[in-house]
Formats: sequence, structure tokens, C-alpha cells
Amino acid sequence: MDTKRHTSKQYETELQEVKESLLYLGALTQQAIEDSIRALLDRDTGLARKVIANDAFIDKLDGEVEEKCIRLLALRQPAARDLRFITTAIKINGHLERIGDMAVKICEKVALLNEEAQLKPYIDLPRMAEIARGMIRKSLDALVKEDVALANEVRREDEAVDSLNEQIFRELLTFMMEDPRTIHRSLLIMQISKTVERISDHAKGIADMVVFMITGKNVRHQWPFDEEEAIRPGGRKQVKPSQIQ
Amino acid sequence: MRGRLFYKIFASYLVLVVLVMAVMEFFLTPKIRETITQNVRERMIGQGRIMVLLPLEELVKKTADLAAGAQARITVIDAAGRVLADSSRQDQKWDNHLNRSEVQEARIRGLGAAVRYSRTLGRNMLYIAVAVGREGEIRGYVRLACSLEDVSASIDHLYRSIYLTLFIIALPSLVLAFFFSRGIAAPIRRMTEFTEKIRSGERPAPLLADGEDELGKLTKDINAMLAEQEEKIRLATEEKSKLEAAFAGMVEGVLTLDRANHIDQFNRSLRKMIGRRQDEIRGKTLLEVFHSAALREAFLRFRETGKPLTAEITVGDERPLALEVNISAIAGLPADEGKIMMVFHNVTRLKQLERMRMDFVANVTHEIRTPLTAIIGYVETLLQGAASQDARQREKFLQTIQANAQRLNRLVDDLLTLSNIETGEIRLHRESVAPDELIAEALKTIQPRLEGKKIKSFTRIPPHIPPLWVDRDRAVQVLLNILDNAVKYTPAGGRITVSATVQTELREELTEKGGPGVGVETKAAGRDRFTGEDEAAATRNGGPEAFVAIIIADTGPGVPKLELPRLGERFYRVDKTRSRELGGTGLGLSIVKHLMAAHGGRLEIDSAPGQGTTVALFFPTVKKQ
Repeated sequence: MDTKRHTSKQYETELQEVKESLLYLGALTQQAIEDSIRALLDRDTGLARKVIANDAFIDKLDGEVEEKCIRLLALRQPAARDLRFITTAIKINGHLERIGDMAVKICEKVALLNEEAQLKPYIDLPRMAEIARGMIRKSLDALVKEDVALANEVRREDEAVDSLNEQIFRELLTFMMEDPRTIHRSLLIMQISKTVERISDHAKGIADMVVFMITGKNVRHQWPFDEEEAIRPGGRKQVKPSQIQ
Repeated sequence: MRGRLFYKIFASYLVLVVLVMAVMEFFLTPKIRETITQNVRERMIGQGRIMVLLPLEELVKKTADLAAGAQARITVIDAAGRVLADSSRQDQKWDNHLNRSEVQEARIRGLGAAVRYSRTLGRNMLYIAVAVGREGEIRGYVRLACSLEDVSASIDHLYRSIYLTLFIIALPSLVLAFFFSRGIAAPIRRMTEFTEKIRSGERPAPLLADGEDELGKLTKDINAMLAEQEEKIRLATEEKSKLEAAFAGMVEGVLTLDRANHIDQFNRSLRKMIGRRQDEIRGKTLLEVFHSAALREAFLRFRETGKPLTAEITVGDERPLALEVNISAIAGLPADEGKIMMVFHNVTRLKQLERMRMDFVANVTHEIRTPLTAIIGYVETLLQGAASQDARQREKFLQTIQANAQRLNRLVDDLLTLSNIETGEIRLHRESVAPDELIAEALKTIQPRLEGKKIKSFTRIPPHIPPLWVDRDRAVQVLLNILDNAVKYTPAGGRITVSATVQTELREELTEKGGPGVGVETKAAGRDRFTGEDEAAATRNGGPEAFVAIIIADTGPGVPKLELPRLGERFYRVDKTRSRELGGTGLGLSIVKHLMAAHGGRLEIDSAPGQGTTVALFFPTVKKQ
């Protein structure tokens, strides 16, 4: 978007608007995640309720972005890069909206947890949420900078969140085995952990779309990363010597 | 090379001279010629008129004399046209002259004139004929003839002198023009060169002003103007660099937004705050750089109201910063209309302190209330009669009450100690103490508990360790506190190692330490917490000196690296439930930290989950005098 200019100033502005709205949506969801974890740590049910209430605004913004994108598609009939950007925007928009919903889910669990005594100090969970939140920010940053390397970094971080989730799962399992009275709380925490893990999946989804937007290459179900060298901004895949035979 | 101006001025003079000559040639010449011809003609007519006063016979007789007098050829003709006499030739046979136009004219009007080519003389001649006698009785004619060539010759003569005069005038005036145009063009050319040099960035020597005329004044003015401009530019540059230095040196991050709401200018502090490169900030929007919904909302609110406002935002992932942002419009120049300035204050530390204070109050209340609740509960039970029923039960209740009362007592003691250290009321009785002595003393005290948990302790103290310059009791207290923690968290059958090393300089230690498994992040965080005291200590002791590090390593569960910076905060517990069960007040590390600072030393903790905890205590040694 930055490198070339469109003949129509209006068109340019509209594309920029879509980008800004996406970033705003991203910032709002990051805030929601942060607040939901803060609500958990501080046992602040009021904050949790606030996050739940704010989700309506995220949903509204999501609708607006989608409408803007569709109008652009219909009226401007974009091609190549712009088309990729708009389709990417629609998908990222969807991911962000889901992330907002997940923050709501976390807050609902937090409200329930706060009705009982704290089971354990939270160490891994905030770390996990921090990583997931960082993934959203970085993937949107990659969108702004058109930085494939950064997007790939985000895609890799998903794994760290997954392993943290498993760790929390194991830990809670021991709690539940020791004392059945902790089962309710443990399950709630597990659900929160799982939700955070899904947030990171969505963040990875955003990063995938960013890679697609920049390179024109679909990497959504591509793993592992030994191929990342091949994904360059030019969009062409370089064949390694070992692959020639 | 002479400039164009010179040629312009000189050429105009040249044209002027040529023009004067041309005008003379085209307008004056015919006029002069006509006037002279007219004069000759008038003269001849006059002479003719006088001649006809004589009788015809006389005229015939005196033709030659008259011709000589009149400087003309004279022909006398009778009324019939026969030539009676002619001054030029006597002997010739003349044809009838009556048909000559001048004679015909004279016959009718008494006077006739004509210019004709004379075949007789082969020249252009002017003829004047005057009738002799009255009208009606004409007796003859006198005809005067004069060569026009003679007239031309005299005209040419006149011209020669006129042209000569003109030439004499033109030559000096051209010379004059040459010098005059050079006199104007040269200084102007010099000024042009001068201004061109200035434009190309040179600083030429001032122009030499010659003369008091307009040009001289202009030269002086240019010199004065240049000096003035230079002074103004110098002042402006100075002002600008001052502003820039202030802008760059500000602790607060500053940025300005242009009319399209893109980031225009920003300072280094801002760049450092958000940890981005220049090109990642310039020309971007707020959201692109900050990813902060709060900032955007504050910005929109400002745009709506136009009133300066303050908002709080959080940026960054791993070590988030709390920033207070002031948004205001840039006032002043019309060029800045619609631009917005944002100033970011880093309030992270403030927020932390605020949080710590709030935590402290909450914690103190909580810590005191817990044993109190227990005491009150058991006392109430005893009062209700439980005491009288079962002696063993009563004994147990009283023991619990005692334990809780002791706990309260410990807590209050610790708080008092802490408060004394913090207010500086504690007095250190420093003396020279050998490290091994100190360690032995502490280990002896803790020995029963080590045995109770079957924890093995090792000491590794190299020889020739310099003695420490510390308050013995306080140092033992510090060691005991740390050992107590180690024993508390090390599982049964674990291991505690106490070692000592010499550190030549505090700073070196900071950068060298931090082995594998402990990230730089942790070190940085640890440094943040303790740097303040270190520096204070260093200045107090008059510079860096040798330190002895006593390092206590355990095989406990370890502390997650994120928690490390917060260790040493009062009542801060990594695992809140577990630690209270183990009977800590939550003030131990805090006291250690402050005591080390009071000694001019430092506390450093390295740990990772599952890898045990290593506490390094840096004690100052006896100063070498």
C-alpha cells in the first residue's frame, strides 16, 4: 500500500481506512485480553464484566470493516495486491472478532472463579496470554510493515503457547487428583487456558494471512518451518539443491 | 569579459550617434539643398530685375561685364527670340530662343525660371528669364543661367564641414560612453558575482564600496544587509539547535502529527520508549506504531473537543510500559495549523510504586489479621468451656495461640527492623570479619533445621579471602535469612552450597554473571531493582572497591524468571499459599535487601523453575588504606 500510489485518491484513502480499522480492532482485542487476564489476577469481577460489555463494540466494528471491504470489492474491482489485501483484511477481521469473543469467554470464567477462593497463583497463564497478545500485535505489525520474517516469527510462537497450555493442563490434573474440591476451579482454569491457546491459534491465522498478502502464497496449513527460507517477499519459492533430484 | 549591461549602455550611445547622422542625411540634406538652390535663384532673379532696368542696347553692349558681375551666363534676347548677345560666346550662330520655357514664361508673366540640361554647356543649368519693357510692349529678354553643379559643389563643401563636426563630436562621446557604461556595469557585475557566491553557499569578503553615489550606497547596503542576515541566521540556528537539543534530550517522548494524522516528528526518547526504528515511526499512523486502542480513543476525543487532554496507555509486550500521554494542538505559526503534539511520560515506575504501596497496606492487614483471627477464634473456644473438658485439647489450643502470637511478634519485629533500616535509624557497628567465620556462625545456628530436613550443606571457601567490613550481627542476620529461605524451600534430602569469591568491582560482576539458563532479561530486571542502591553505595564509599560475594545455592523449586524482579518487595510471595504454611513473614528478603544496601553491598538472585535458586550477597571488604 505504501509503495505505490493509486490514481484515485479516494480509493487510496478507503484502503488506508480499512487498514486503520483493522489495527483499531486489533488494539481493542489486545486490550480485552489484557483486561481479562488482569481481572483474573486481581480477582476483579467488575473489570471482567466491563470486557464482556465492550465486546458489543468490537462486534460492531467487525461488521463495519467487513462492509467496507465488500463495498471496495464491489465498487473498485481491485486486482492483484489490493485484492489480496482486501481478502486478507476480511479474514483477519474475522479472526479478530473471534478473539474478542474469546476474551469474553475468559471473563465469564473469571467471574465464576472469583466466587471461590484462589486455587493457585497464576504464573504460566499470564505469560501465555502475554505471548498470545504479543502475537496479535506482531502479526498486525507485520501487516503494516509487510514483514514476512516477523509474520513467520508469530507463526512459530504458537508452539510455545501450546506447550504452556499442556503444562497448565498437567499441573491442574495433579491438583484435581489431590483434592476433588478443586475440580470445579481447575476445570475453569483449564478452559481459560484452552481459550488463550485458541487465541494464539487465531493470531497465527492472522500471521498466515499476512504472509499470503505479502507473498501471494498460502501457508495456512504448512508446517514445519524449514521452508520459510523459501518464502520470500517476491513470492517465488526457491528450490533447494536437495529437492532437485 | 564585459557584461551585457556594458554592451547595452555602450550600444545605445552608438545608436544615438548614428541616428543623429542619419537624421541629418535624410531630413536636413534636402532642406539645405533646397535652401541653397532657392538662394541662388532669388539672387539671379534680383540681378535679372536690376539688369532689365537698362535699355536693351546697353545690355547688349555690356553683356560681358554684367555676366562677370553676376557670376552667371547672360543671354540677351529680343522680343522675337533672336539672341542679341551671349556672355559665353560671341561668334556662335544662335537659334531662336523664344520657345525656351523660361522665355515663354517671362513673356507671359514677366519672369520665368527653368532647370534644364543645356546642350550648349553639357550641364544642368538654372535659367532665369526677365522680360525687358512693360507688359504688352516687350522689347526683349535677359536670361541668366547658372550651373547647378556649382551649387552642388558648394553644398558638398558645407556637408563636409558638418560631417567633420559630427565626427569630432561623436568620437569623444563614444569614448565617454565607453567609460561611463563600464563605470556602471562593473560594480553591478561585481555585485552579481558577490550575490551568486552567497547563493552557492560561499562567504565572500565584503564588497568594496567606491564613491558616494547610488551604486556606492547600494554596495554598502548589500554589505550591511548580509551582515544583518548572517546575524539573524546565526541566532535562528542557535535557537533551533537549542530547541533540538532540548527536544532530543527530553526524558519525555514527544511526537507531532501532521494534518493527515501521520507521525511527523518525534524525539529519541519516544523511539527508545517504543523500541522502534526511525523509519518504522515516521509517516505512520498512531495505530500502526502503538497498537493502542486507548491512545486512539484519546486522540479521537481530542479531535472532537479540541481541548488538551491526558490519557494513560500501555505499550509493549514483554516489559510493558505505562505511559501518560498529553495531547495538545500546536499553537503559533499558521503553517502548523491543525497539527497535534503528543508528549509521553513514562509512569511505569510510578505505577509500580503505587501498586507496591497498595499491596503493602493490603498485605500488612492481611498478615496481621490471619494470626489474630486464629488467636481470637481459639480464645473464644476456650472461653466457651472447651478448656474445662479436655486438658489435652486445651493444651493444643494454647499452643496454637502461642504459635500465632509468636508469629505476630515476629512480624511486628520484622516490620520494625525494616522500618528502622529504611528510615536510616539503624546504626552499623562495622568491624573486620572473616567470611568463613561468618558463614560458620550462620550455619551453626541453622544446623538443627538442616538435620531435621536431612539437607546436606557444603561450604567452598577459597583461602586468602579478604575480611569483610561489616556489622557482624547484621551480616549474620542476612546470611541466616537467606539460609532460612533455602532450607524452607529445599525439599528433604536436598543440598545447600555456600561459597565465597572475591569480586574486584561491582560493575564487572553485573555484566559477567548470568550463566546459561538465565536470560539477559532477568539480569536486566534484577539490575533495575538494585542499581539505585549500588550507585548510592559506590559514591558513598568513594568509588568501586573490592567485594566478596557469598553465594548460597539451593536445590529448591526455583523461581520463574518473571517473578525475580519482584523478590525483595515486602510481602511479595511467589507461591502465596505455600510460603505462609512454611511460616515466613514475607519480609525476610526485603530486610536482606535493605541491610545489604545499608552495608554498601548488594543482593542478586538467579533462578529458574526446577533449577534451584542462587543468591549472591556482595559484601564490601576492609578498605585498603
